[in-house]
Amino acid sequence: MKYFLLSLKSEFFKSKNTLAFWGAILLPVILCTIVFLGYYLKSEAIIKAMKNPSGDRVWGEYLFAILAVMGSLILPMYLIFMTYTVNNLEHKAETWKSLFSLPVPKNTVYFSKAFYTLILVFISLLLFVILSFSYGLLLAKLKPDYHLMDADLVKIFTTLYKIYLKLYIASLGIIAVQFLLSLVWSDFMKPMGLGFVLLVVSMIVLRWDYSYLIPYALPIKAIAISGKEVEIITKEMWVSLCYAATFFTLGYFVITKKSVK
Amino acid sequence: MVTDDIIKVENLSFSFGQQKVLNNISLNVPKGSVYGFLGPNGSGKTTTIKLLLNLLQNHENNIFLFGKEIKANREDVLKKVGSLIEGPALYHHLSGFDNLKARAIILGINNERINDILSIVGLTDAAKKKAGKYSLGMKQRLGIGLALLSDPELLILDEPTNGLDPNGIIEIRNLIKKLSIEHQKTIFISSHLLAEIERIATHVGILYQGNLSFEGKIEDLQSLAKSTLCVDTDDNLKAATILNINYEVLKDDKRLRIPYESPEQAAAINKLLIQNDISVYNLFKEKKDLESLFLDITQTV
Repeated sequence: MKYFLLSLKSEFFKSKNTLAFWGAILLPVILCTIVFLGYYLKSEAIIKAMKNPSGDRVWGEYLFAILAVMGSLILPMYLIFMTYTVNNLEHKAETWKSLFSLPVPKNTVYFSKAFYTLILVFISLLLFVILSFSYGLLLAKLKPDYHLMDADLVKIFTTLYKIYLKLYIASLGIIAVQFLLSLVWSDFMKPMGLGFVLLVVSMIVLRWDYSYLIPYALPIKAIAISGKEVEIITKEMWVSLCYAATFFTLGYFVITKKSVK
Repeated sequence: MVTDDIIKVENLSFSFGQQKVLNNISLNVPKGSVYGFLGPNGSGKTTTIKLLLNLLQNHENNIFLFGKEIKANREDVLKKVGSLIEGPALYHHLSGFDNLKARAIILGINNERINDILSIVGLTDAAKKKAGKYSLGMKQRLGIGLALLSDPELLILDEPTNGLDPNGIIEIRNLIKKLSIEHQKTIFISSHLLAEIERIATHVGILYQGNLSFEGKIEDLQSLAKSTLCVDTDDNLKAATILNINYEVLKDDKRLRIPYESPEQAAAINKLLIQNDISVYNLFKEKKDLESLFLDITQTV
């Protein structure tokens, strides 16, 4: 456990000034700021288009504007890119062999890196929750015509974090698959290329009855909320968890049994 | 296994698929030695090193470091080993200090030790510079610094002078000498440059096409090389005729060569030539250089 925590700390230290780390922060900051600016600068047009909406409705539209872009395309793409970048740090520096020559169990090296990836995605999605809600409150202050303060803020926040939690669980499958691909292949094209192909395929077959079995389709399914209450653990989430368990375990065997060439 | 050897390998063989890379090699690296592991490129040196570090899967229990079998005692053994394999593995976006720090965090080592290491490898002034902007020599030194971080008893360095200019080679050579003499490290260093190893090693192992052709002290290797007496005169042809009566004379373009026996033999040859009115320009003992010896050994396998 001691080595796991130290390795994890080292992962954070190594990733400073890397795109993998800053991507986790910049993505929510940029996306939320753009949507906020849109709602701030075009408030009159938005209110007119919605025909004097209630605060609840504006909250819904505003938050969904961020969620829709995120869940459908940007999040899976970010996950593919991020898992590649995390492993590429070692591929590029050719440091796998020196990491595995340390007096640290091989599985610790692997799990600390995998856990680091999970934490980065968590930080990113947590920032989405915090920023989108905070910008919403700022909008309420700057643009009272939206009537955002009239809405049940506790309920909105609860719904918001539940959807993002669901989005996080839906991401686990993609992370595990892509983590393994980028662990095995050091070149840019294979893990990224295959990831994007699978993403496009999952978008094409989205309406197919069994599309929920493709991990790359799960984020978009996670944000497709039909009922009033957000149900977190759905069958799609179980699929994602199964993919995560399977592929992280597979990665563990690959890394511990494989020769480091 | 009770042994004084820091590294002991018994009949190690290894293949990549159908291709046999190591054939029954045995190594004995004594404590405190600088062990030069010599061999041409592709002879299996790096493969041996990766097996010593448990990076490649070995199905037999025939590698012992500090008297312990490596697979069963991987972490215990690796605590005492620092290594540099196939060139320095560095994070180019981090400074020299931060590269050491990233490793130090995992090993639970403080900043003071990092500064000590930077001083040992002569990178204190370049500590804040990004490793990507280092020269190859600096990168190699930082790589050695990373290997030294945990103050290991055994250093395994794979071709640390590869690709360096003469100044870089001298820097690394001096560093290795310093580590051996001042810090009492056992150093296992691989190279394809015999001249390099000759200058720093106390023990030598020669690997050729996966076979260990020689293992022993550097003096043993040098004594294998027979010396010759070189003679240069104003009339080499006549001198050869005279000397041929009592000696085995080999001739090359420039001078005569006679297998060296003793100082008295040299004096007798000199006297004999002068008595026959031959002016002797040069008369000296020449040791066969290790390069030709290396070629002799490897070609007889």
